[in-house]
Amino acid sequence: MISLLYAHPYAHHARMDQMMLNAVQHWPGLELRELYQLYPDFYIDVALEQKMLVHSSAIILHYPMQWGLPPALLVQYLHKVFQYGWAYGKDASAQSVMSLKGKKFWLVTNAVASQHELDPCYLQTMFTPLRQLALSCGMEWQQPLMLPELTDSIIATQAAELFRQGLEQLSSAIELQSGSGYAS
Amino acid sequence: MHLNVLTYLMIYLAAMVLVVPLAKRFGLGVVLGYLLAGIALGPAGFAIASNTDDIKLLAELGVVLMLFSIGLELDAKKLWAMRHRVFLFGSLQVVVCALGIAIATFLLGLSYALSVFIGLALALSSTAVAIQLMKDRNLMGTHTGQSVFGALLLQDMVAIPLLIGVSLIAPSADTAEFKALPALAAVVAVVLTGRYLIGYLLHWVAHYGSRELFVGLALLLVIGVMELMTVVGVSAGLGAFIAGVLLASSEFRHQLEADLEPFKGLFLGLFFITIGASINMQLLSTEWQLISMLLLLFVGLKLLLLYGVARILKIAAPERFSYAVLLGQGSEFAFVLAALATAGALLSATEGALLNLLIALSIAVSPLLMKLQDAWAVRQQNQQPEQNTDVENSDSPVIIAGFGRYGQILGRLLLSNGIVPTVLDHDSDTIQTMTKFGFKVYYGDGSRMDVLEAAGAAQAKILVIAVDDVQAINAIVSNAKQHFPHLTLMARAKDVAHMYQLRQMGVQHIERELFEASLRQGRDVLTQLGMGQYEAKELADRFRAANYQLIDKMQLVRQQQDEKNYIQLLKQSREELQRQLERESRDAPQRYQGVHPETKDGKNTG
Repeated sequence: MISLLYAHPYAHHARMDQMMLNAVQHWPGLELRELYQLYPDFYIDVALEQKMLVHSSAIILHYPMQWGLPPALLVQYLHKVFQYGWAYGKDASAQSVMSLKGKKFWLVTNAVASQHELDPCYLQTMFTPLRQLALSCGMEWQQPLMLPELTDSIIATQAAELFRQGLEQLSSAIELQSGSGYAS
Repeated sequence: MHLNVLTYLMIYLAAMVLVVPLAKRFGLGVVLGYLLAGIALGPAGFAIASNTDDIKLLAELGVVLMLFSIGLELDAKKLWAMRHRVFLFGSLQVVVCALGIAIATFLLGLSYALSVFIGLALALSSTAVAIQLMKDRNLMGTHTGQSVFGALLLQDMVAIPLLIGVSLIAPSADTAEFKALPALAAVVAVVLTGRYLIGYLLHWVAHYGSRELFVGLALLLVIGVMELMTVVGVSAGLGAFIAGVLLASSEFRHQLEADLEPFKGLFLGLFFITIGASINMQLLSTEWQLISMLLLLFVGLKLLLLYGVARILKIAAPERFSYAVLLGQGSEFAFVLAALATAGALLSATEGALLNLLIALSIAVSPLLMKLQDAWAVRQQNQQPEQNTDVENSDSPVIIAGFGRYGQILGRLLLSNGIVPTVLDHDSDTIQTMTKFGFKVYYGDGSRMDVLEAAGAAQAKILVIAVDDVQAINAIVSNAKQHFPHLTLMARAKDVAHMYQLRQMGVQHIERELFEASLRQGRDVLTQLGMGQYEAKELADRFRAANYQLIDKMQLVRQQQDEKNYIQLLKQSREELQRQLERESRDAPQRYQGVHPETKDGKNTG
């Protein structure tokens, strides 16, 4: 199973995202969860989410970026679900735990160009906190898919295609691993 | 001098209007006010109540209307749920009281048969008085109230065989004839028409008739039942009650209730006045020693017996006395019984008059005793904390006044997080149930200083006022403000107008009882229409904020401006806020992550 966590407060208005999600929604084994639909009040069912993540071999975060930051609910999700003593750190019996160890961690995002054009180095550093999270939790960092800002429908179609290709690569990588008896 | 009915009616109404507000002003209560008005009109006063037969009929209509409207509040299901209270508890009350009083009269030297008769007659209580007293104190829904009501219902049923019995033992000319078959047929007829025909009739009139025709039909219904029942010798009240129960599940229930309400109140007032007028002041003044002794004996004995019954019924100790007082007077049926017995020579004329006087006086004493009971309850509450409280609880930081649906949700949230609130409620049933769940529930009314004190208001930090009645909420607020200014008050408001009231009284935390629930469901409607969950939440949040903004603004205007301006301004501000709301809700998704060219046209609706 692949968990696709989508976080956009106004998903219905985000056309590019809708096209992208439409392109992949019937992907075999893909579990799409729209966080703003599930938890509009920011009260997250942590136990359920952890269970879902444990059963996934890959975790995709799909979100719009503003000022280099994910939407508030996604941050809340990362704080609540990727808990100490479960995703990293030590459990009650002082054993090290990494419940998400070995899972692939892929970010799919777009940023507003006008917010970042001043500093070319910015794009390189933007993913640092999430990369650190993947490292601490023992997850396999995948090269993020950074989409351009939506300006017309051609870009949206291209974005959907890029997303589909990325997912294909991810899936075959997972298959390869499970074939060699490596992944969970 | 012969006066027509209308003149009498005018005199009675005038007496009502003059005397009752005065009685209320001096804290005597409405019932006592009517009785006093009656005495003033009676032979001892202005002696203008001489020809009271017609008025008496109207007065009886008041009682019948009352029973009808009680019936309206109880559909068959609720009535079935009350069956134990009516038949078991009710019979217990009648048997115990009748036996006790009969033994006492026998010991006074009356004959065996007469003792039984008087015992039974005086075991009955006045439905009108008891229910009026209960309504004044909002006791109808409580365990005590329901037990009293059950007993009253059974008494109404017992009165029928009693009337028959008397007319058999002592036949007389004006005995209302009771024929078993026609009576049964009449009751069946009421049940059948009430069940099938009247619903259609109401529909028909509501559809084709006018508003006043509906009132007319409602009155016709009640008077019709009353006449029918009187002809066959069944208690008219009982018939009306049955008719009411049958219509309780009809969609016209509230309409009927509202339409009959003013008639009920007025005619019931007339009823009490006629009782007042029938008090034979002359006999009272000549035989006052004997009468006061008998009255003391009768009321004392009946209260004692009823207190015992209340104990058996497992009514909570502080409420037993109020059960006794509510049922502790003579019944309006007893007047009829006494009249029958006198006519049938079972009683001598003097004995009949004495009995009449005794019943009337016991009815007059009832409201006074109820006041006494209030005072007694206050003292009881004062003593309770020492006997009945563990220290841990009386310093609970939170007191919740009123433990209905509103207070319970709040209380459960607190309890589930380890905070045990002190709860005040006036329903002993609620108290028993909630105590099982670990709440510390007190019997009492938060508008009384001593009750709040007993609940630990001096140590508490927060008082939540979750009662459902506006008057009661305000009373509790002003009481708490006056005696426990350190308490943070959190009040439930009925609506915006009440919210303003509470703000003016200085309450800072006010929640409109339906606002949040409606808003939440409105939000769900938006999502069902296809809007995103979060977007709908945001719109609801924004609506809430705008609503509060409007309320704040209007409060200022309300304090400064006159009514006309207020309404105009309210309209303006509402429109302005509406525009603002619409603008913002359109913009929010589009401004997110910069303005996309495609969504600029505003056609995007998700």
